[in-house]
Amino acid sequence: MSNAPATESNASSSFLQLSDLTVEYTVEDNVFRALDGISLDVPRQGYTLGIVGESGSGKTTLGMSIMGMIQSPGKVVEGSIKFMGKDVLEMSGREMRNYRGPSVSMVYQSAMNSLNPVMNILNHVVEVIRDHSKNISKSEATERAKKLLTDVGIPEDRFSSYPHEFSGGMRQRVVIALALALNPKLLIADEPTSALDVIVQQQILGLLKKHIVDRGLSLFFITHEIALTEGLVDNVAVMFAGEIVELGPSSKVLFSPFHPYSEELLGSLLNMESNLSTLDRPSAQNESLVPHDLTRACKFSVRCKYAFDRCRKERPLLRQVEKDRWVACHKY
Amino acid sequence: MSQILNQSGSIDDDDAQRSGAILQVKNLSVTFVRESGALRKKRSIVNAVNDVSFEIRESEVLSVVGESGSGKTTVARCVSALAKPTSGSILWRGKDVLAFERSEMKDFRRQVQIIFQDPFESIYPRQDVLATISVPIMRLKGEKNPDRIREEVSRLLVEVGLRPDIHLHRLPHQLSGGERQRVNIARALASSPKLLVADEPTTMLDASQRLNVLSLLVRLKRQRNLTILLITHDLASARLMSDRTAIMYMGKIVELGSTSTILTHPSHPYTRMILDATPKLGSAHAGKYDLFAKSGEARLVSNRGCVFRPRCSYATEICADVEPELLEKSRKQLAACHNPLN
Amino acid sequence: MASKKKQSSSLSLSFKNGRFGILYSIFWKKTRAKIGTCILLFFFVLLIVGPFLYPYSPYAISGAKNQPPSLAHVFGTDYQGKDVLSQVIYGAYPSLLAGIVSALGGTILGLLLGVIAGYFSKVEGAISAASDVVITFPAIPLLVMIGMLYPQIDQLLILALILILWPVAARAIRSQVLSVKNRPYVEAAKASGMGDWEIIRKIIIPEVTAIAFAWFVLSVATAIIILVALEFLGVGSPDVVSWGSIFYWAQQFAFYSGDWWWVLAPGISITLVTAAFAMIGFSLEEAMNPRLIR
Repeated sequence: MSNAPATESNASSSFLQLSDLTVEYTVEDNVFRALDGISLDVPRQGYTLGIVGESGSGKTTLGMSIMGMIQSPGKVVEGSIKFMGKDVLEMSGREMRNYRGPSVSMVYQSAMNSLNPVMNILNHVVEVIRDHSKNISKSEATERAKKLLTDVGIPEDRFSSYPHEFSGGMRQRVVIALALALNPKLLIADEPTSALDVIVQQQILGLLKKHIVDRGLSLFFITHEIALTEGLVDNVAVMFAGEIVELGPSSKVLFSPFHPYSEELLGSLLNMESNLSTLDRPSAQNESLVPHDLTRACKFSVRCKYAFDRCRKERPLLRQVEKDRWVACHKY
Repeated sequence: MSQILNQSGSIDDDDAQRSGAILQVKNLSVTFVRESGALRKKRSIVNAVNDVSFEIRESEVLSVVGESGSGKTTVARCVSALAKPTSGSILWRGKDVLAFERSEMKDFRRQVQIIFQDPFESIYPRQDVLATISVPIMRLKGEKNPDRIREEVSRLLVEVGLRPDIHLHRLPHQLSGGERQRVNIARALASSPKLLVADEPTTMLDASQRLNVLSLLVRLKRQRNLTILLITHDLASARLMSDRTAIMYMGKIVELGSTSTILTHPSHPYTRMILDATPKLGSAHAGKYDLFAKSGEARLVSNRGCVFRPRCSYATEICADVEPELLEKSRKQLAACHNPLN
Repeated sequence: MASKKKQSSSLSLSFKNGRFGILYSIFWKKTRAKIGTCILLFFFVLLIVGPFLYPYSPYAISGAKNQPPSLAHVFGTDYQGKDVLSQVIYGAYPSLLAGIVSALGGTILGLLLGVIAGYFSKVEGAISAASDVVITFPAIPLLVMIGMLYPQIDQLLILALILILWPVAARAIRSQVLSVKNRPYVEAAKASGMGDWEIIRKIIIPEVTAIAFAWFVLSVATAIIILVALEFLGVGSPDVVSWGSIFYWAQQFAFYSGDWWWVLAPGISITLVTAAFAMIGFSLEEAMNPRLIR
């Protein structure tokens, strides 16, 4: 998988291609660069990717960009997003309606609280289906909706219940059903389980795996909870300060990371093996100094224990260093 | 030091003395009425906390682990006198907190402090760090001299790993979640408390910041000889820090004992379930979602029998009829189960 | 394609911090607010500069009686030959002052009672009952009565108006207080040892000031109208020139003689001023709504 900007001949064959994507948010006089030159080439459907990083790393913005949902004060200032050859950023209103939903769909954390309180869940799904194509009859749409809800594990006797009558986990299932209603080829899930308990979390992830991965759809799973990506997605991208700093198969990135930030991130995780003796470092005092204003250096160099001269002068680009691994670091 | 706790009885005070309990929760119940339905006509009684008893021993770290709806936060709020129990009592050093006079209450607030869960909402956004942390120093410790207050606040900031020269005059929105939580911790420490109630201190932080904050708490505990009541849904946090752990489910304690024993040899099926579901990089369960597919969700089915029965794979007949008491099943471990795993 | 403006880290995006900072930046985007402010500015200037520039005095007879608008007297003269426009200019001050003072008093009283009612649930019932009584009580007849009983004491009128205005402000403020009271930072403040009054002083009041200000502005519009109406009915002393006094005399005489110009200027002024206050007040209220959640 190459991530060089696509040439004309490659463009049409790629499933999803991001080239040098840069997104900025402007509030009064301040400009915040949420994404800085993101390039990613997903050759075909079925590619699953976990996007991990801390808050502020740009992972949500990345998901929103692919959905074409960047709005003021945010703006795509450079780069392109091509889904099966079509430029997402140039889409007309009509093309966007055929894109969002039928091509790409999104599930996000607060979605379960955004369901319409005066509509029962069956109607939620029916409405999404019918809104989209006027040719489908009500009964047909209802049939499809029922099947979807059953697929996500909602018992039939609850179809006419209202969102507030469900627990968080059940509502998130409804949200997934809605996202799948129009048969998208790519599902972007942004922290879909953060507000849920661990057991329910596993159930929801199981649902995602069953209905997306096992059906050959693509899944982009955005999270700060790295451990969740294991077993769910094949590849992992690590983001830092608006850039992808590492990309590769989950098994490799999660267990033998290349980029110093990946290393730091994985090492800082609390898990069942954590030990007090290995901890108690002084706090990351630079937590709030995420250096988004360095255009000519490696953004991580401020915190990096391996940093050398070149790191402070030249920004490393995401480069292929092994057969299936990319890193943005001067060490390699 | 074995203890028999049953749902109707209470901890013997002599035992408490021996075990060094500084805070005792006895038969704590908190119920509230919930109105539901379109016209808010359906009223149901919710047993947020249902006859819970335990003690917190001096200098220990006790974790209360449970999912949402387990009642753990309500327990924390009762312990720190921010919420009133419907029945039962909270005893601080043997005296009933609910019967405290004003001066005793003030003393209690000095000695028992709480760290709130939400770093974004628990600090007043219009005040800077100095002002926020000054409050307990002025009100609970009675210090009036502004220079001394400032010194003390600076000291506290350093203790929690922040830098006075940078952070003293910052406003909350200028701080990251982890930094805000540290400010919360500094504020809680300002009155030199004996007991810290940490209500899910890392739940709203990024995964990468959790370890930092928890290890800070551990360091502080050692340095100041604190006692900590940690409320969490994350077993890994409990494992890291606590001496004993209580597992709560739907308002009841289902298992209680030394952390290491509970996590390596859980008695209660629910403990086993959470253990398996806790995300662990490299675990054998990673990606095996079928294990949980049939586990259902927390739902109260009936008021008789074991609360966990609807989801339990080991349930037998007795589980439907008789509520299991929290009894000692094996050394140092209490479980409320008719068919404990060991 | 480097950005021209300064880039900054996510956490130091600058904010206009003060209480009103954010308010202003949103408020200014509304055309209504701008129009309202312009109108008020105009009247304000008129009020201050008018008496110096304008040649006629409202007390002196400067022209023939009952003259319609002409070049010399832009808005005509009244029954005694006094220039109408000068009465409007000189009359602006007492009318606006009385309106603002009443509104200020009403808002402050409403603020105090609203905060207390919102924060101390035990007292809430009593205050709500009191406000209900006041709201349902017929205000104007009461005020007219007071005016008749104590004809020379204008201050009494303002006091009475304050007592009439407070309940509406109190209601709005009380609900705002309720929402703030339940925020985690209030609970945290209590746990830190802050007493109730300190919490009210340092947290509740700053949070409700913005909405209190919006209500104040709206109340001014109401107050001015009520005061003018009262003066029209003969309350207060009609010999002091104010917008209301113009209506009083006009009612006595112009009603029969059909001298429409007499009330044109004050009528327009009152309409414009109260509309301006209303526009600003509503814009402020709107501007604050999403922010109220903060």
